[in-house]
Amino acid sequence: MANANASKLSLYGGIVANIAIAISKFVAAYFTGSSAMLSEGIHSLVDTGNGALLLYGTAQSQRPPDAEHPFGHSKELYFWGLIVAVLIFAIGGGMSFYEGIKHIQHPEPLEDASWNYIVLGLSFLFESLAFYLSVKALLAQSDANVGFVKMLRTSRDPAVFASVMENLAALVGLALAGIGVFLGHLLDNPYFDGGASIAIGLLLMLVAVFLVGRTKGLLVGAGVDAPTLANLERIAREQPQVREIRSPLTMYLGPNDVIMALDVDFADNLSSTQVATAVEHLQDAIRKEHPEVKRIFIEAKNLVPPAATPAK
Amino acid sequence: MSSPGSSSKLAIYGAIVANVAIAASKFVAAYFTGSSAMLSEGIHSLVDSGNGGLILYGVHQAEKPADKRHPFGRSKELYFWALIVAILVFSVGGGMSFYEGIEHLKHPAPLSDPTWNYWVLGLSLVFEAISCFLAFKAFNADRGEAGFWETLRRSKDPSVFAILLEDLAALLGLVIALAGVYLGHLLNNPYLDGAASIAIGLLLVCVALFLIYKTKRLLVGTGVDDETLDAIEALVRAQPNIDEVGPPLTSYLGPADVILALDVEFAHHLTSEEIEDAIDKLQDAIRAKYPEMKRIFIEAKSLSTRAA
Repeated sequence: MANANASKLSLYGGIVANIAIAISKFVAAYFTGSSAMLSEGIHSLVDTGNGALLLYGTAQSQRPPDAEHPFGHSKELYFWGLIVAVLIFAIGGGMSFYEGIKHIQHPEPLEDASWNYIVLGLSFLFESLAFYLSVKALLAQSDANVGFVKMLRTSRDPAVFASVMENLAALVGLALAGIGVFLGHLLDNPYFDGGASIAIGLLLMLVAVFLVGRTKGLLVGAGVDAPTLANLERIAREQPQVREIRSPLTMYLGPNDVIMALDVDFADNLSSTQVATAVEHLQDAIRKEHPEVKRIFIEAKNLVPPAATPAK
Repeated sequence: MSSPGSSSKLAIYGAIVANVAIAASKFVAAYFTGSSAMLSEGIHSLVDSGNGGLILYGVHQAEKPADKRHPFGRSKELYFWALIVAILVFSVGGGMSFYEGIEHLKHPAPLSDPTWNYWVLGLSLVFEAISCFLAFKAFNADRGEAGFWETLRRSKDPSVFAILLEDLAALLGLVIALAGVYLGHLLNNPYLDGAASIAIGLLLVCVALFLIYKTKRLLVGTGVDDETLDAIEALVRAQPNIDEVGPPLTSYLGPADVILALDVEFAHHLTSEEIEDAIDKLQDAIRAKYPEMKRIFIEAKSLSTRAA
């Protein structure tokens, strides 16, 4: 799918950007001897690892079903998305917060800020590129006429929505860090740096909580949205042999893998072969409009009891 | 397998109460000795009680009915919260013990009177043993004829296997801690306490990794075992008017909530009305034997013509 390529490109973009950022931070740490810059570099390495985990999850989720996983491995992507969210919370958010508290308790005397500005500027450049790629992937997957926030909230692909959120948080975080350094020097106040770290920590925790909530919903099992559900019902009702249906049950196993179960009351005079054919036609009709609905189970059910037989 | 059994809930409550009692004894000891290690041990026990609370919350959430946003219900919430518990056991349980052990090795505290340590460890052993006993009872209710490891491998209910493993690890950890304190005083060696902490940390990390592995598989979706699959197929074939059966697809949503999807070719002389009745009967027959098969989807298919 074109989607998968865009999301993979954005993941590779995020990984390369974070490695470049980590290198600039390590170089700056080497020349300034700053331990804060060193731990910032480690932080960027962890971000790189998060991209790799999402890439791994994407690859794992594409493995075919086997005896122990009859419905396939699609949900692996959601599992790894959750792990990334937990890591952003603990290592991204927790570490920045802790560093900020430490800096405020023991503020360091202000030094020449040129290295900081160079690193922050380079990081902003790399991060913007990564953000651009991830937003492109998100746009490729979503309806064009939907708002950006809605796209984020309805995307079922953590490789995309987690990347967008992570890169966006990183950009805002870099801006906060830049403001902290600038104001600290302008006002000659050593507490601004620590304050910026705390703000970044809180921002990352907030983003992580959002990501945990989203991946949790997808792991537990989220259904398709109301318009899609209505469209699925319409397709089913349009079939000639279908008398009545119950509202379909749906669940996302992965961004491009939905299971659907539908109870259908077929016309009474059909033979068993005709029922089987009608089932196949209905499945083909649904898959044609909604190729992401990979597994469709259609069950013949007595929904409208004919006058002759008593209701069940 | 019974529905989320009262014995598994009893085991969870037992684990929570035991850990609160252990935390209380550690806090009392910390108050009288002023030991910061004992204080952080107390916090550790509070986190353990919190883990029991999270599993209980998961059991509760999983029982909520299906709604628009969760058309298949929320059974998997239990697996989600069990995964969170496993991550907490890894980071807070294992990571903290390991870190404390390293700190103690770097800066060994001089040996002091171990009376308080023995009291706390002894009381903790009693509480933890009771909790472990309850967990074993819940585990054995699931077990039947199978062996311990086999049952552990097969169990689909984290409110049973996660609680049991946590209790067992805690019990073993207390024995290691006791050995560390005792040998440290016997050999007059201040390093053994820290070494015991490191060993406990490694133990908890191992248990957590196993729990993560298990809950991950359950979250991704595992099917029933081969024997059950064969039995279902046999049961379906034994019904009248069935020509052919495809291999059943199954997936656990929760310990007592399994999806089953089955392709069936019905006898050609049946009408759609009769097929609809036959499907109802087939579902009743499967549910009578496997009440955990909450959602059964039977699709009428032309299997033999496809094969031909």
